[in-house]
Order: sequence, then C-alpha cells, then structure tokens
Amino acid sequence: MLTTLTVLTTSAVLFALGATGVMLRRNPVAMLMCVEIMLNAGNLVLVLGSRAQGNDAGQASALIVLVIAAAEAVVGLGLALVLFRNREPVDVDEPRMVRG
Amino acid sequence: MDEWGTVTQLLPWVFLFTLPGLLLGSTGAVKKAGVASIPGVAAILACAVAWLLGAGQPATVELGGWLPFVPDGRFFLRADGLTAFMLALLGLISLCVYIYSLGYLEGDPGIRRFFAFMDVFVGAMALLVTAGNLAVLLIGWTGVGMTSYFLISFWRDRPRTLNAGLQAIAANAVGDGALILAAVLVPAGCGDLTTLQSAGCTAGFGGAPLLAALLIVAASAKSAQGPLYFWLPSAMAGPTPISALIHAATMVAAGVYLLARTHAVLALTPAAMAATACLGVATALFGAVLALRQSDLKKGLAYSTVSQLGYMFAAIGFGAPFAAMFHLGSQALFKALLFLAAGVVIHALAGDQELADMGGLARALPGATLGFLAGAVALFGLPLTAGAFSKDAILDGGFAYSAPLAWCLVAGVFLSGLYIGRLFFAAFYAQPRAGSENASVREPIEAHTDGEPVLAPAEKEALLGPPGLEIGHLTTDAAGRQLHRISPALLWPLLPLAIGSILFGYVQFPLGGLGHVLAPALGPVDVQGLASGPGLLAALLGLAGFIAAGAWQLRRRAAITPLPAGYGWVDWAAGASLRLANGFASVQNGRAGRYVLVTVLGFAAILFAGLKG
Amino acid sequence: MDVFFAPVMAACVLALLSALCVVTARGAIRAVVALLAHSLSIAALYALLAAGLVAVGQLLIYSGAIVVLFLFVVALLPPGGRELTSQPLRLTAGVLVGLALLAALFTAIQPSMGGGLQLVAPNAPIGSVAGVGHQLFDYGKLLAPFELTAPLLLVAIVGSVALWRRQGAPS
Repeated sequence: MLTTLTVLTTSAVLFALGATGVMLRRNPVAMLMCVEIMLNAGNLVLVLGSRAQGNDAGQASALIVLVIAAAEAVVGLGLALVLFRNREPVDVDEPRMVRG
Repeated sequence: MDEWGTVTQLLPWVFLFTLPGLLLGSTGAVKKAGVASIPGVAAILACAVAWLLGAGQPATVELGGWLPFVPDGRFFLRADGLTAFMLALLGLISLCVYIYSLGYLEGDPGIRRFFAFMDVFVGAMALLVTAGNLAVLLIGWTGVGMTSYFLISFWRDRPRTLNAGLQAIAANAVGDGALILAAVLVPAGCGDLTTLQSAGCTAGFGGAPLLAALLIVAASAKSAQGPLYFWLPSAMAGPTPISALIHAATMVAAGVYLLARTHAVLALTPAAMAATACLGVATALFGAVLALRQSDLKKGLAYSTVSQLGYMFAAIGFGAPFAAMFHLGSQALFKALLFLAAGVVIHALAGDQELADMGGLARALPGATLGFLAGAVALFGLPLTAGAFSKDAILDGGFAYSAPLAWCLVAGVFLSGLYIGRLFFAAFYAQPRAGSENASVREPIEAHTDGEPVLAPAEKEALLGPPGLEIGHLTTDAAGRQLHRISPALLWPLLPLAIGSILFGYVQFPLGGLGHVLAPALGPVDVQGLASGPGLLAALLGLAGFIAAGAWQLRRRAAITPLPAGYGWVDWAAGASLRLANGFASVQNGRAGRYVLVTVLGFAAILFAGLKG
Repeated sequence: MDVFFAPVMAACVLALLSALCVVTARGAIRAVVALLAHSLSIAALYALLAAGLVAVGQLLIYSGAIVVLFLFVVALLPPGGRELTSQPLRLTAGVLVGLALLAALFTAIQPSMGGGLQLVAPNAPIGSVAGVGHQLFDYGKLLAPFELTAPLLLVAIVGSVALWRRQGAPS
C-alpha cells in the first residue's frame, strides 16, 4: 500500500512539475523536455495500474505511449531546429508565427 | 404505351447521356469544340420532359453488393417525380449554357477542356439526383464538387482563380466529410434515401438528431449557407457560363435537394428544423445585405444566390419542402438568366466585371438589358412571375411555423428588390462614371465598320483582356467605351430562360402540375397562391425596392455608391462585427508561453469540475 | 511492507530530483543530462514494479534514443538559450497554476490512495514478454493502437523531413 502511495504521489508531482516547466521555460527544447517528464509520469501510472489489475494491458499501453513519445519528440525537435535556423536563441514569450 | 415505358426505363440512366459528347469532344473527333456535347444535354432534357408529361411511373435500377464499406452498398438509382423535375431543370439550363458557352469561350484555347469538364459535371449532377441511396449520392456529390473546382480555376493563368477553387474545395471537404459520416453511421442495410427516417435506420450512433445534423452540415457546405458561404462569391472568378450553371442553378441547389429528399429525417428532430429555419433566414438576410455592398456585378449576383438559397433552407425548416423545391426551380431559371445576361455585359467589356466601369449599356446591349430585367423581376417577385409564386409559397409555410421568421423573410424581399435594382440600373441605365473608359482597353481605337480593325500585334495584346477572346468588331458606345461584338449564341439562350422565369409559376398555378409530380417524394402539397396577404405584400415590397433602387441609381453619376443615409446601420454593423472579431483575435497574440499557461489552467479546471461534479 | 519498498522509494526520489533539475536547469545541456538521469530512474522504477519489458523499452527507446536525440539537438543549438522566464508575474502565475494542477491531480487519485488500489505480489506472472505480446497483438485488445502507431511514425518522419525542406535548407 505504501508502494501505491509513493508511486502515485510521485507521478502526480512529476506531472505537475513537468507542466510548470512547460509554462515557465522559454527555450522550446527545454519545454519539450518538460513534456517528456509529463509523459513519463503518465506511463508510471499505467504500469502501476497493470500491477494492480494483475494483467499486462497497462504495460502494453505504456509501450505504445513510449512510441508516441518518440514520434512527438522527433517532430517537436524538428520544429525547434527550424525555429533556430536563424542561429539566434528563441524566446517563446515573444510573439511569433503562431499569431492568430 | 410502350414509348412511355421506354422513357421510364431510360430515365435512371440519363447520367450517361453526356458520355458520348465527352468522348467525341475531348478526343477532337468533332471539329468544332463543344458541339458534340449538345445532343447529350438535349437528350437529358427531352427524356425528363417526356417522363413528366406522360409516363409518371418511378423507375429504379438496383445492382447489389457493389460497395463493401458502407452499410448500404448497392448501386441503386431511383427516378421519381422529384428526380425528373431536377433533371428537366438541369437539362434546360445546361442546354442554354452550352449554347451560350460556344459563343462566350470562342477562341479560348482551353475550350475543349471546358466542355469536357462540363460534361462530367452534368453527368455527376444527374447521378446525384438519380441516386437512390447515400452511397451513389456521394459519388455524384463529390463529382460535382470536383468539377466545380476544375471549372472555377479554369483560367489557370489568372491570379485569383486557383485560390477561389481551393476555397470551394475547403468548403466542400466539410460537406463531403459530413455526408460520408452520415453514410457510414447508419445501421447495416440502411442507406435508401426514402427510408432513412424509419426507426431501424435512425437507431445508429447518435440517432436521428446526429443524422439530421450531418445532413444539414453537408447541405450547407454545398449550398453556401451560414459560415460556409465564403466560397461562392470567390467562385465568381470562373467563367460566367459556369457561374450560371453550377453556382446559381444546379450544384448549389444540390444541398436543398438533399434536404428535400430526406426531409422526413429532419422532421423527426424539431431542433433540427428550427436550426435549419434560423440558418436559412439568417443567411437570406445577410446575403441580401452583403449584396448591397458589392462593387462587382457577378459577386453581387453570387450574394443574391446565397440569399435565395437561404429562403429555400428556411422553407425546409418550416416544414414546407415543396415550397423549397418550387423556389429552387424559379431561382434556377432566373438566376441563370441573370448570370448569362451579366455575362453578355462582361463579354462586351472584355472581361471587366466591375460595376464602376458599367452604366448606360442599355442602348448598346438591348438583349442583355431585357434578359436581366426579366430575371430581376422574377427575383424580387413581381406579382404573377415565378418568383412571386414561389416566394409566396415559402412565406405561407413561414407564417404557419413562426411569424417572426416569416416577417424577416418579408423584409428580405424588400432588400432583394433593392439589390437587384441597384445592379440592374447601375449596369444598364445609370450614367457611367466619368473617365470609365474600360480599364481593360488601353487606348481608344478607330473602329472600322467593314472588316477587322487594323492593329499592331502589341496593341492587340493590350486590348485582348482575357486570353483567347476573339477581337471581332469593336463598337463605340455613347460613353466612348469600346464594346466587343456579341455573337448570337450569347443571346438566344436568354430567351427560353426568360420565358421560364416569368411563366414557371404556372406549372403550379393554375395547372397544379408541379405539386402533383412532387407529392410522392415530398408529401401532400397545400399552397394557397397569391391570395394570401403577406405574399402579396412581399411582392409589392420587392417592386418598391426595385423602383427605389432605380431612383437612387439614376440620380447619381458614379455607378457604385456608398449607401445612402438611413443605411448607415449597414456600415455600423460591419464595423461592430470587425471590432468583435478583433477582440477575439487578440487572444491569439503569438506568445506560446501564455498559450500553455491557459491550457494547463483549463485542464486543471476541467479535472476539478469532472471530479467534483 | 513490500520488500521492494526501499528501492521504490529511492527510485522515486531520484526521479523527482532529476525532474526538478530539468525544470530549473540553467542551460539546455544540464537539462538534457538531468533528463537522462530521470529516464534511467523511471526505468528502474518500472523494473521494480514487475514491468520488465517496459523497463528495457524505457532504457532502449527512451534513454537510448529520445534523450540522445535531445542531446544532439541541444548540441546543434546556438549557445545561450533562455532560461526560466524572468517576469516575476509569469513565474508566480506558472507556479500557482502548477500547484492548482497538483491539487486537481491529488483529488483524482484520492480514492486509490486510501487503500483502494491493491497491488498483486511482486512475483506475480505479469510483465513477461509473452504476456505483453498477447496484449499488444490479440484482436480486441491493443492491436488497433499498435497498428496505428505505424502511420503515426510515418507521419512523424515525413513531417520532420518536410519541415526542414520547406525552409529551403539543404537536406
């Protein structure tokens, strides 16, 4: 039971930490890293769930989430590299191309 | 009688009638481009009219098991009264437009391509109205959408046309998606358009409300209603014949046809009927208001089309599909007429569509003037014209459903008289703007009355305007503008359309024929005729609007105008909506950090709400 | 108390500390190294929770590929990337929203914490390759999502190539 407590708390705190990081960091690559933390937190809960259910469905889902994280990292980093093409640091707080 | 039997057998297959013309014309087997396609559409018209006059028996064609992915994948065609009515309209208007195009696009290098696309369009439209289930309807639906794109962006070397075509595709994609969803969400075996309202077929995911909503979205995309109207004014970048055929008479009417065919499904959900009625009334009004602000002749007619389709949607929402189809018929006739007459003017001015360059053309182009006038009086509903009868039918349905909405439509009739009068008088009677020697004609040329004017190649180039337009005779009108020759092929098709616009109402009053033909598909028809008060009031208001517009235009010099005093509310409304839009747009200020903050906050709020609630 | 509890606790603390380093790191390189540590500790956590295949997957895919990719990109970046936002208002707002999110999440996991979630024994027959394989490939379980990851990866690849090429860079 303590294991449950610890792991669930950890994952909740990790998720919130990652979200705060995404909100507060100004470098797009750092934002992506914080998103990865959030993904890991979710995966943790999935794995814990599979141990609670006694079957492997959670773990299989965690593997798929891993694949999705990989795809997202690729596209996100590609975008970040494109943003950085001017060889100058990017500040996401400045108004940029996503203006509506 | 045996020949009626043959006609009945033939009717579902009319979508193939344009195929020989397509093959002969596009391969160049027939020397003069376009002539090979005319027999095909004439045959469609003949077949449909023969069926309407004599046979009267519905015909079906069914080939099972053809599409494996949809609940009902048969190749199923059904030709009944509604189909024959649409086919007759399609046949008549496309015949007129084909003949017209022979003159309009004479000398254009792409004329074979044009007629090929037109043949595909007519075939797809015929398939659309002959379809008995959703799968076949979808084929026709996407077919007309695709050919519409190809024809809008027909002149590929002009800057705006591709953009306009892509706008049409964007709107059509929304509609096609909705229709595909509707086709796959119904339970197995359901797809027949006449049984969609049965309990078995509305038991699928989302039930009858979802099905009705999807059908309304699909129809709105095709008929340019509500937020999906934007593609229709842009589509005016295409040649005028296709504006007449596709974007006035047939393709945009496909949305109304779909809703009329499936009106029983909509009737199951009162909210859907109310939504359709409100959508129709709102579109009718804003289309009319926007038409008053247009400086381009064809765009003014395009907004008028949007507005008139709004009337039809309102009729469907009122529970009067017959009125909608009746108005579809008159609008097809008079709008095609208006576009073809406008095309004569544009052709004479070498492709110039701006109202500012027109004015005072009545003496030089009498045929176009009369044609436009006939269309205009039918549009605003001069008593005893087709437009009056059909608008009256819609108003009858409206007052039976909801008086406030119906009064909005009556106001809309006044606006329609106003905008069409403005277009008519500005183009044909008002004093042309000083210095309006056409933008397309660089220098005044001495016109020779005997034979071709003598021009250097460079001057020819400067004069030609749209590529391929033959130079022909140039005449000088009273204002000193050079007008291109109008071939008879451009004027003769106006006549049957004019006759139809004026007299179409008589197929219902007093003959009662149209209601009888459409009753099996649309339910019993009960229309009172112009004896009812609001109908007569609306017709008189339309006339008043037309005359007012005439007085307004004739008193001034310039052909286009800021709105007179008392219409400042139009500008105010436009300004207010612009300010509102800017307010909403300021949320998107490009700061990604803030976006994330708001997103996370919202997520937390939703989580809280979901858990507590 | 579970015999694995101490290692679990240690791995959790490590994961939290390294995540904190990622969020507050001064430069991108430090953040990447912290991310590597974070991912390794999560892998250890998976292994302790009887999820052997996922732990190896985390090591290979996450630490071995994703974090390395991050490292490459950070190496290509110009130096001096911005750090935490410097506007105190934004900082406060961000921390507050993070705390709000934390509160919301705790509300969500409340029922499970009070003994509502019973774990099976650590040596239960879960986490084997065959078991996870059955979950992934059996019709009616996760076969559809598994197959859909293939077009997802294809889109990611095509998308990232298209992104770079559209900017006109030499590919």
